[in-house]
This record gives sequence, structure tokens and C-alpha cells, in this order.
Amino acid sequence: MTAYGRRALVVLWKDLLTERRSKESLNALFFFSLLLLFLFQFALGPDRERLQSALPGLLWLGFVLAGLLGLGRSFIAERDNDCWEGLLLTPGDKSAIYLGKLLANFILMTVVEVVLVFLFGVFYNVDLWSALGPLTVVLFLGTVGLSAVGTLFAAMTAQVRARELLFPVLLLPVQVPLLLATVSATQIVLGGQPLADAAAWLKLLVGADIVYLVIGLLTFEFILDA
Amino acid sequence: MPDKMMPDHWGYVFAAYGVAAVALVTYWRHLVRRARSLVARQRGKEGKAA
Amino acid sequence: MRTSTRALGWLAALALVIGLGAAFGYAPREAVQGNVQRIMYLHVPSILTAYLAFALVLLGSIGYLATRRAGWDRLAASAGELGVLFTGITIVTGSIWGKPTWGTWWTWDARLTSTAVLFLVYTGYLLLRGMVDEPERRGRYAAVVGIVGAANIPIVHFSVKWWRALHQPSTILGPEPSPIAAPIAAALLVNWVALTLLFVYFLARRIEIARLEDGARDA
Repeated sequence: MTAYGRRALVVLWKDLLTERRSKESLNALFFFSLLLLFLFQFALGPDRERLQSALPGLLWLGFVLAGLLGLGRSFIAERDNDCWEGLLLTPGDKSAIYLGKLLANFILMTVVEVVLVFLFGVFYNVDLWSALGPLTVVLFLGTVGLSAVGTLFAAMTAQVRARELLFPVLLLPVQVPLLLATVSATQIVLGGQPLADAAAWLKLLVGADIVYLVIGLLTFEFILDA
Repeated sequence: MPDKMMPDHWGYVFAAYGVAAVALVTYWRHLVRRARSLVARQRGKEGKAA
Repeated sequence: MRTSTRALGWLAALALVIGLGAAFGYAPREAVQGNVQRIMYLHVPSILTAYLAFALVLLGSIGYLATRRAGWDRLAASAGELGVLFTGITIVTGSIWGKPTWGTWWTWDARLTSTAVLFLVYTGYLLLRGMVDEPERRGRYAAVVGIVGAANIPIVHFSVKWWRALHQPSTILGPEPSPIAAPIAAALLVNWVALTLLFVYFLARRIEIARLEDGARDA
């Protein structure tokens, strides 16, 4: 294991451990997901058909909204506890920190998404189980993109005033194409079609994910310089 | 004279050009005003320094 | 203001007058849409100018991260402002064009949607710049967003295009007819050059203002 990899894993481990101990973010996000479920139901009305046809969009809307909350907090701990200098003084390639944070965020988002998928299946009476494999692929690709840009912008906005406003404002427009792709792919997959039918969307997601990951790895150090 | 397939919508044309003109002129005046105030402030500082 | 900048301003004004002449006098009345199509001579150059602006934002962003010289950041900031301005003009003129031709002020067709997302991305860019006071950090943060924004453009383009293709197999007649007719192409070119000249003039003045502001602060 290279020193770089070790550094990334240390950051990942620290974040996961903090989360496991406090369960702060996770609990709130679970509850938030539950609230979203009710919100969507009330917003769309009692028509079951309407809800089910909107399901792919609602699912990803839920993920993105939860992401705004969860990802936006990525660097709060460092900022609040005066650990920012600790980040700055880390020897070597700072992008290792980005990678570690990214992995932690990815895991966090995935856990929330699994819960949301389960809740959606139960409350909206939708069969998500039969398409679980393909759905997982779409979820994975979409979450990578969301986490990649989210982690980068979270680091940036941690030090900016009106962080809670600026983070969504910056993240959402960049998420739009990813959202188009993931919702379309999810629709295809939940419609019972094979994953191959969504190939174009998946390719777009893979391309976008790679682009955002590379940009994140290359530019993260410039955000850390104080 | 060939039949017009679609009525001329000069109102819309002028609206579009008008909006663009207003936006561009407003921005231009904003630039001019800002530049003037900055130059004036700079001259003021130089006057004090002299 | 430098003499060269002033000269550029006059040149741009002249070019705009010529462009208007071309758009309303020289260019023929379009066969299908009628005279409302003349909005194109404003709408298309506007978005092209916006693209130029955002390319300069990317250039300035990379330049600043690479060299940390304020000149690059001034370029990025100025170009960003102008890019948002011209994108806004593009959207509004496109909407005004769409009302009589499509019957609606807005439609989620590929091009309008992509342009709207572009507007949102770079408005966020400007908001970020407004919220960071420290110039060095502002430059760094803005540069990162500038790079992400630029990378986003082709991704948005393709995603929206495929999204529309799925939901609307029959293409609506787009506002721009293929400019095969030479007079139409010529008028378009003239207006594009004119608007670009105006853009460069604005850019020069805006950068000069930024330089003055930086100087005033450092003095």
C-alpha cells in the first residue's frame, strides 16, 4: 500500500469512525429520507399511477436532496474543530484527502440510498427488487458523480459565508446532466428492460464520473491552500 | 407577390432587439460609471500624496 | 481608458450598425418564418459570444491556478460576468423568438435547456466570487468552479440532447433554418463579428476596472 493510499484510507477511516460513534449525520439523513417520502406523497396527491410513473425522478430527487444535506457537511468537522490547519499541513499529495473524503461520502450516500430505495418500495408499493442488479449499477454510477463534485464543492464552501446557500447553488446545475442520465436509466431499468438498453446513459455517466473525479483530484489542493 | 406563410411579428423582433440593447447599454453605462469613480478615487489619492 | 480600447469601442459600434443594416436590410425575408426570423441575427451571435466568454473563463482559471498571477483571475472574472450577460440575452431573445414561432415562451428543447443550465452554472460562479472577500482565495475557488463549469458544458450538451430525443422523436422546427442562403449566412457572420467586437471592448474595459480595483486595494 503506497503512502498515498494509506493517507486516503486514514481520512476515510476517521470519517467513518466519527460517523459510527456520533451517528449524527446518518440518523438525520434517515429521518430526512422518511420525511421526503411523505412530502412526495402529499405533493403528488393520492393518485397511485402518478406517483409510480414519477418514481425514478422522485428517487433521484430524494438522493440529491439528501446529498445536499449530507455532502454539504463533509468538512464541517474540520472547520468547526480547528482542524483545517491539520489538513493543510498534511505532507504529500493533498488529493489523498479528497479521495478519502470522497470514499467516506460515497459510503454515506450509498447507505442513505439503500434505505430510500427500501422505503420507496414499501411505502409506494413498487417492485424494486426484481430490477435490483441493474438498479445498483445506475445507483453506483450516479452516486460517484454526485460524491465527486459534492466533496470538492463542500471543501470549498466550508470556508465561505452563506455556505448553506452556496453549496446547493453550485452543485445543482452541475448535477443536472447526471440527473437526466440517472433518471432516464432508472426509468429504463425499472421498466423491466435490460441494462443494455440504457447503455448510452451509462456511458455518459461513466464519462462524466471520470471527468469529475479527475478534476477533483487535480484541483483539490488548490482549495486547501489557505 | 408570394403569399406570406406567416404573419410578420415585428413587435417581437423589436422587443428582442430592444431587450438586448437595453441590457448591453445598461452594462456599458455600469462599466463607464465604475471606471470613472475608480479613476477619480485614484486621482484623489495621488492629489493627497503630492 | 486606453486609446486602443476607445478605438475598439468605436469599431464595435460601427460594426453593430453595419450588422443591423445587414440583419434588417440586406438579409431577405425568410420564407417559412417571415421577418421574425431576423431575431436569429442577434440570438445566435449572442450564444457564440457567451461560449467565447466561458472559454476565456476556463483559460483564466487554469492560468491563475498555474501561475497565481492576478491578471489571469481578472480575465476569468470579467469574462464570467460577460458570459452570464450574453447567455441571459441569448435566453431572452430565444424565448421572444419562440413565442410567435412555437406558440410558447418556453420549451424544454435541447438547446434552450442547455443554455439555461449554462446560465445557472456561471451565475453560481459569480455568486461564489461575490461571497469570498479575500482575493487570493477567491481566485482559487473561482478557478476550480470555472474548470468544473467548462467541463460541464459538453456533458450537459449530450445529456440534454439525448433526453430530448427520447421524449420528442419528431423535431420541432428549430428557430434557425440551415443558413444555406448566402445573404443569410453573410448577415449572420457580420453580426457575429460585430457582437464579438463589442464583447472584446467590454472585456477590455472590465479588466481595466478590475486592475484599478486591485491597485486601489494594494496601495
